[in-house]
Amino acid sequence: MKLFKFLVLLIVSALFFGCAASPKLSPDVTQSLKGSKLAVAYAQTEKRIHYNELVYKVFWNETRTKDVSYNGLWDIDTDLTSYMAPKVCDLGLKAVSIYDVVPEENIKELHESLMAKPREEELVLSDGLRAKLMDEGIDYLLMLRNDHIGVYTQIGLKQGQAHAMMYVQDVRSNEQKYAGFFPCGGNFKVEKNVREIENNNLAGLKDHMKEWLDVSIQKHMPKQLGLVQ
Amino acid sequence: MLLRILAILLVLGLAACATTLDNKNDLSSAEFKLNETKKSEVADYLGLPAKISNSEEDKKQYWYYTDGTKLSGLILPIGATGMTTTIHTGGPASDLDYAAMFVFDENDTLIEVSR
Repeated sequence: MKLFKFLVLLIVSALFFGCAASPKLSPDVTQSLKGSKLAVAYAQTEKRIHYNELVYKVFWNETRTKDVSYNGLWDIDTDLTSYMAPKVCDLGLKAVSIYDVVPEENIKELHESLMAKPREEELVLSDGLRAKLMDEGIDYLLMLRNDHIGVYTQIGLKQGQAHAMMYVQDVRSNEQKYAGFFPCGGNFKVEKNVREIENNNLAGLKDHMKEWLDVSIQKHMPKQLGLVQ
Repeated sequence: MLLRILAILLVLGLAACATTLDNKNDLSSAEFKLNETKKSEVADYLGLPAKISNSEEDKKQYWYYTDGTKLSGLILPIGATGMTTTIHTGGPASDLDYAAMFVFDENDTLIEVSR
């Protein structure tokens, strides 16, 4: 009976931990954000897909992994940043793509700084990047950072997950105003094998990523930014 | 009795699954033509490579393929309790694990293969 109680408590605790909500932006920053111009950026630090499959072997189960690269085949940063900017505008914010206001070299420098440190560390923008952003009247940088795309598969289940973090950085003070997990993912619609997402120059992966990003911007971003209760 | 056990084991064995994550086709079966085959044809036949590196100097792109998948964990039942334990195995692939390398020029044409 004690063991039963312990197991029930364990499962309930695990469920609560699993549903832990992302933090919210403080109300004063939300107010400031509403009246400001912001640049949006999507940054993928590793251009790879990490496949993970649970394989049933009767007497045991195995997890098998395979990593594939799309480095140089899909400019995911530019593509998803351009995709994001109008979606963020739809939330009632004045947003532009960082690629429209800052030279490529400054964005490259930002990506290199992201690759050099784990995502838990506080974001710090270089003086050069801040100067360019301020010249364009940008007050905040809203950035999604994703380290890789995870694909999880087992019988009847083929899911993708972008392990993304969302940051809001005050450009003038260079202070990180927000950092929180940004859920983005869903089920792949493929016929047989999940690696079909690589076909036709990654057409399946691109479509799914945009669809999930769209859903997450509409569903999660307003809550995280405090735009809705 | 022995036959019955063998039959049960055979049925259970058939129910076991194989991984679906490997390259789309065997690396050894790939027959590409130098100075003709395009990058997209290699990707369509084998899937994407494990690693891609770009040389800015000579504008070449290097694709490195690995064979098979990596066993990253085993989930085993413990006795008759219905509980399981997971054993994690191995680390990331090293450069030595690559089974084939394909080199493309700036026009996305295959110019070199090394196995």
